[in-house]
Amino acid sequence: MKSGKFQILLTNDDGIDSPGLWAAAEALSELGYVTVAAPQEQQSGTGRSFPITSKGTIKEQTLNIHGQEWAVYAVGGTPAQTVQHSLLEIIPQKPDLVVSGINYGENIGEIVHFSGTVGAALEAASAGIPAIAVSQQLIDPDMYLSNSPEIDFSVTAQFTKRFASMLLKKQFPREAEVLNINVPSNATLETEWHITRLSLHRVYQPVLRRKGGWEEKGEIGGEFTVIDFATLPKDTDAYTLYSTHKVSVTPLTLDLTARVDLQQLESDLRRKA
Amino acid sequence: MVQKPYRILLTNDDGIDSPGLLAAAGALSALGEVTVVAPRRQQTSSGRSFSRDSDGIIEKCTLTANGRQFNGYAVGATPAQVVIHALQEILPGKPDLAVSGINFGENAGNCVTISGTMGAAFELASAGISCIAASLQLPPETANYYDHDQGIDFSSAAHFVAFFSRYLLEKGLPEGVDILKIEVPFRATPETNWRVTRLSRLRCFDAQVKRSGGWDSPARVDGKPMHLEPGQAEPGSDLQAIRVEGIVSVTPLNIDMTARIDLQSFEQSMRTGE
Repeated sequence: MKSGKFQILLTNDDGIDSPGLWAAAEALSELGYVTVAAPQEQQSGTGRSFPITSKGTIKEQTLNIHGQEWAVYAVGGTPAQTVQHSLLEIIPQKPDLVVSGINYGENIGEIVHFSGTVGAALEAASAGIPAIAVSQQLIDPDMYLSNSPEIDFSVTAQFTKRFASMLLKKQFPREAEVLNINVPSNATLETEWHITRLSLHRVYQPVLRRKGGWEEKGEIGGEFTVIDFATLPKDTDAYTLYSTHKVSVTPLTLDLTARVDLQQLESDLRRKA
Repeated sequence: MVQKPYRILLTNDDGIDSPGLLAAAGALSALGEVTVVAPRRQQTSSGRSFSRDSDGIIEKCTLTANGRQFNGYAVGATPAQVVIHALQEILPGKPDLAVSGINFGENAGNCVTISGTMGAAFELASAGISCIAASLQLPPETANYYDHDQGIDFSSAAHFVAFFSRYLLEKGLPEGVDILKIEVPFRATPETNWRVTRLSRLRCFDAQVKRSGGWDSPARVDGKPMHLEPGQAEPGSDLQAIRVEGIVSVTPLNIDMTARIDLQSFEQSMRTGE
């Protein structure tokens, strides 16, 4: 049995000014000591990247969450860089758990490859720390980068606490390195949760916008595709979130080795090459 | 009967000026028509990120490798964004094969999701394109991952890129495989053995912070090849192949990050934990 309080590192990709981050901080503080270290600026879409252009500065600041003062750290970097700055410079000991979120907008299917929320959790997992990425579905795409105070994160914060508590209390299979949690926009505390797998249906399409020729600025955004639920396998995150409106919990791994017979593959390559 | 030449897209994360990119272009030109579309600047460790700082500007250029000239396009974007520009604006149609690399430095173990070389490959795989991601290990003592060290010889790595590219062009990717990830040790010759491996569960690079002053001074989180104790790398892993055995590693990857566990019994164990 572990003595003393649990140490939890909380981060996100929407930045230190995100009400989704604050909601998670408040809920998690009932489980242990929470250190909040988050990117100084909006970092959506940065995945697990470590761009060489990041400043890497760390600013200690005070945040007031519902009347309580928090000492928090704003880092000039991506979520994955923020995790490393935290582990190497800010926190005196290895935390028991890393939580990333609550994100403005769902992170399902292959979005997990470029989600900064998930990127922070993957970085923690690769340092051997159990990690959770939490996102709340948004209906209005204009809200994704908004950090709008209009969004109510209270239900998702309770789910965050619930799954964090499970991870702190018991051992999970080593292969389940990150729990990727997506909470529907209309969830209540009574909403059921299910273990799911990533949807391989391309749920999000890149959209390129350019006004003039190639010498003009060209921006890549994205939009969710219209989903035909009949084509979605029922055990996927997309089906669970969009069709049954349940909380989706997907165990993720860093081991992307293809699930094929490696010896067979090697002999095929040798025979035909 | 004249067969149309294969169309090959070549990209990387080190940028359009990388000697590793040119070495791959030279080797691939024997197999088909190569179009090079690469980031304008160094994009090492940008993963599959979509940076909002990218300008997306495309500049045409001419590249020379092995005495041949290639159409090149330099894009102000991350590797994953470069792939989207290539597929939506530059190429006339879907290529038969895409290659990302040859990278300055190995991409092994559980750090592959940080790599821009791999990020481009994930984006290509998502678009349903057969893809090879290729990297050359750098000598650990003198490794410089950023500055295009002209002393690095990519010819052996280029040999293996052509070897596996020929296979994919003729046979396609095996069922269940989205990407072939190839790591070439720095001492390799074209005669070096190769082996199919799995990803190591270890980090390939240990993170370290390089900071000159206090927290208000600029800092970079850098990676240095992790120290491997004897017996620490898993047998059959990519790290074991390149770091311990000095052979070429070929890892089949899949873009599905779902953990490979029985999901129903996992759900059961979580529910009993509440």
